[in-house]
Amino acid sequence: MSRRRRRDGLPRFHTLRVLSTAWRAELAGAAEYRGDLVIGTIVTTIWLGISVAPVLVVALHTGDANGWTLPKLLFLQAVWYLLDAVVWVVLIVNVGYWEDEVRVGQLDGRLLRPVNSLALCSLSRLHVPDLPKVVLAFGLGALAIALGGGPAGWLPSLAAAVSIASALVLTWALGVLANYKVLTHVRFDGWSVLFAAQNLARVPIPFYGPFLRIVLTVVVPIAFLATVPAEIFYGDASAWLALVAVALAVVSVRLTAVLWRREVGRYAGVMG
Amino acid sequence: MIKVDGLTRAFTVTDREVGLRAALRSVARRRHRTVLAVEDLTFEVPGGQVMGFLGPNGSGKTTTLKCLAGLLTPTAGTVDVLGFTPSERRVEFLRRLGFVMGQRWQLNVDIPVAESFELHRVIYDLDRAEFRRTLDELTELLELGDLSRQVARKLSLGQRMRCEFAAALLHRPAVVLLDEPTLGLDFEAQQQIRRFVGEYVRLTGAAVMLTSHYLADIEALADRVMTISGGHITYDGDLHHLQTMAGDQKLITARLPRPVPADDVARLGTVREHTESTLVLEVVRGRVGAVVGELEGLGVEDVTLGDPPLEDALRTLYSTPRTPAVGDD
Amino acid sequence: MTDAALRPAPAPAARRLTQVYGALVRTEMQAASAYRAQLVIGALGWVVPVAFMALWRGAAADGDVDGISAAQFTTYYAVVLLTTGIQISHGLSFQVEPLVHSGELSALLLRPSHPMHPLVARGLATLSYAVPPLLPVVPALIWFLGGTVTADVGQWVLAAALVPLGFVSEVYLGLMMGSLALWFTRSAALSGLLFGAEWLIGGLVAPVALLPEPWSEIARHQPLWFAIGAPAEAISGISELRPWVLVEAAVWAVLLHVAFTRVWRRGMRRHEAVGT
Repeated sequence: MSRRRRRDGLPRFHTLRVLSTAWRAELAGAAEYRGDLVIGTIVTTIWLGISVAPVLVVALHTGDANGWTLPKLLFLQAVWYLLDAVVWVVLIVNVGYWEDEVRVGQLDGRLLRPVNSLALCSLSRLHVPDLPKVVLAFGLGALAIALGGGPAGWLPSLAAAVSIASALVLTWALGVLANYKVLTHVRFDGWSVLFAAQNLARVPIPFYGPFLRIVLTVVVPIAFLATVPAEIFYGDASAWLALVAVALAVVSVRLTAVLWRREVGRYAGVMG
Repeated sequence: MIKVDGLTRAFTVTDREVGLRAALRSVARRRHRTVLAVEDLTFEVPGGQVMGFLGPNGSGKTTTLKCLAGLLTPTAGTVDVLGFTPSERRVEFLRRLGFVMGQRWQLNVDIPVAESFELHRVIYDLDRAEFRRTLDELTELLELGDLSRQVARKLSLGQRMRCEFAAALLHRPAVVLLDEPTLGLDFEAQQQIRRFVGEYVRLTGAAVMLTSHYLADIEALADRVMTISGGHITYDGDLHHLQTMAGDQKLITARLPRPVPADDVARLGTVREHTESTLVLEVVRGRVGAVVGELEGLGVEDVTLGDPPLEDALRTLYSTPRTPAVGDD
Repeated sequence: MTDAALRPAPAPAARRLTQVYGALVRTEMQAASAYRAQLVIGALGWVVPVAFMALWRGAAADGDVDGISAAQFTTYYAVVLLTTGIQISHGLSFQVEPLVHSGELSALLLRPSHPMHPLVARGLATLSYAVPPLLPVVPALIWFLGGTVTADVGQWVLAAALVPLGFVSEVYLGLMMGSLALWFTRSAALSGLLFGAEWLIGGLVAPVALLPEPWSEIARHQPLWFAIGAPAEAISGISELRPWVLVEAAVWAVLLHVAFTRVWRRGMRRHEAVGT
C-alpha cells in the first residue's frame, strides 16, 4: 500500500517522521551516558529548587504579593520551568551548536538534506539529561493545584493548556529568532536575548508596573510565556485570551520560517 | 549532469587596520570590500566521469562545490545540476546529490553508526529493501564489517570516514561532490576510499567532482582534471596532457658509470639531481635527442625518460594568475 | 658565550604576569570589537536583577518586608546589577570544558604561562565593554525608581573595598568549577550550579537577610555574598557591614587560590593519565 505523497515525492508528514526517528536515536544514544543522565537529574532538581526559591521567600514574608498567592506563583513557576525544559532539552542542543557547525562546515551537510531544514536544524537533537525537567515541571504544577485556589473551571483549564502549548512554540521561535543570524555572522550569541525574555517571564508581568506591563504584553509578548497561562488558569484573565496566544504562536512560526529561509539564502558557510 | 556557465561568486569582507585603537574605532565605523572567490567559471561534467578539481588553498574550489550543491547562491552566471538550479534547494534535487566533506562530520557521534544510517533512510525516504541492499553493497565495498554497530565517537579516523562515505551515498546520488575526502587518512584508508569511489562510479554512472591535496587521489581516480587559481580556471583537460605541459619539459634520469664534473652536465639542461652515480636533468622536449646523445658521449649507459611530476605542472598552473581556460583539444 | 647568556634575563614574576595580561587583554579586546552586535546583546544580562527588583518591589508595595522598604529593594538590586555585571566567573566555569574536549588545552599547556590566563583575560576584556554602560544606568535606576542610599561614608568605602576581593574569589570559584571538566565528560551542568549558588546565597534571589535562619547567617560568611549581595546591602542600608568583613573576604580569596592550585594540579595529573 503506498503512502500519500507530497508534490516533491516525499511522504506526507515526512518532517515529523524524520524528527521522531532522530529523537529515538537520541534516546538510544543517551543510554550510553548514564552518568550524564544521573548528574542531569540531580542538577535539574537543584535548579527547580533554585527557581522556586524567590517565590518561596516572597511567600515567607508576605501572604499575598500584589494579588499573587503562593499557589498562583508556584503555578507560574511550573509553566516557566516547562518553558525552561524546551530551552535546555531542545534549543541549546540544536540552536546552540549552530555557531560551531557553521565554523567547521557541519551545517552545510545538514542544509543539504531533503527535509525541512529549519525543523532538522532546530529540533532533531534532544538533550536527554534535561528531560527530567519536564516531569518536575508537571510535578510542581500538580503541587500548585493541590495547594488550592484553582483551576477556575474546565474552560479556563483547557484555555490555559492551549496557551501553555502556544508559549512552548513561542519559546522555540524566540530561541531561533535570537540566534538565526549566526548563519551569516558566524560568531553571534543571541542567547542573552532569549534568556532575558525568559528571566523577565519568571515574575508576574503586572509586577513591572503599568507601563512595562503594556510593553511586555503588547510590544514584546513576554506576558504570554508564563503570566497569561497562569492568569487564565486561575480565572484572572479571560479564557479567550488563549486565542491570542495561538495567533501569536502561529505568527511567530511563520516569521521564523521566513527569516530562516532568507538567512539560508545568504548563507556562505566557511569560505573555501 | 553538471553544467556551469559564467559562475561568479563574490563575498563581502571587513577591512580593519591592526592595533587596539583601530579595533575600538571599528566598533563605531567599519569598512567593507568585495572579493571575488570565483569569477566566470564555465565547465561541464557528464555522468560516469570523475573530475579532479585542483587548486591551492583559497583558490575557490570549495566555493565552486558549494555553488553546485546549492549551499551558495551564485552572484552571477548559471549553474545547472541534474536539470535543477541548486540554489533553489528543491527536495527532488537534494535527494540525488551526495556531498562528502573531509573531516566535517555528518554522523551523530554519540549514537551507533547504524542509527545514523536509519535516520538517513528516513530523511531520504528510502525503501527498506532497497536501503538494505545498498547498505550491504556499501558495507562490502567500504569493508565496514561490524563498524556500524559501534558509536561513531569510538571509531578511528579512517573507520569514521568510511562510514561517512556510506552515509553520504546510501541514497545512491547521481552527482557526488567530494571535498578533500581523504584528508588526514593513513595510506591504507586512502586506498580503500579510492577503490570505493572508482567502483561506485562504475556501478552507478554518477558524475563525481573531487578536490584533494593528495595528488595520488587524482591520479588514481580522475579521468579529467580542472585546475583553479585565484578564482579562475587555469586548466581543463586530461591528466596526461597536464603532466606533459609543465613548461614543455622532460625528465632524463641517467645512471653514471663514473663521476662526471658538474660543469659538463650544467650546460645540458636544468640539473635536478647530481650524485656520483645518478644524474637527473630537466630539458626542453625538443632537445631530448641531442642531450641523450651527449650523455652517451660521456659514457652514460642507462638512460630513462619521463614526465616531470604532476606537482611541477600544478605549481606552474597555480602560479599563473589568469590564463584563459585550456580545453582538451 | 653560551646560548643562555644571549637570552634576556627573565622578568620578575609579577611584572611578567602584568605583561602577559596586558598583551592578552589587548588581543581579546580587539577580538571582541569585531562583534558589535554581541556587545549590545551582552547588556541583556541585566534583566535578572531587574526582574527580581520588580518581584520584591511588588512584594513591598503594601508595606515593608521584614523591615526592608521598596526604596531599599530598588537600591539593592540596582547595585546588584553592577556587582553581577562585573563577574566573569560564569564564563570561566563554562569555557574550560570546550578547551579540554577540543584538545586546545594541550596546546595552551605548552605555553610558558598558566592555561587559564587567556580565559581570565578574555573575561577582563569583556568587562571593558560591559561595565561602562552600567555606570550611568545604576544611579539612574536608583534616581528614577525612588531608591534610597545610606549616608554613612564608611559603608560606601567598605562596599567599594569588598567588590575586588569578592571578584577575585568568584574568579577562583569559576576556575575550580571549570576544572571539573578534567574529571567529567560533560561538566557544564555542574558548572551551572555556581550560578545557582550565586542566586541563592549570593543575594540575587533576595537579600540574604530575608533567608530563613540559619541560612541567612551562613550566607553572610561566604565569598559569593561578599562579591554580590554585601556591597548592595551596605549601600542600600539594609544591613551595616563591619570592617572585619574585609579580612574575612581576603582570607577567602587566599584560601580559594590555594584550593584552585591544588584542584588544578590533581586535574592535570588526571588529564595526563587519560591523555584527552
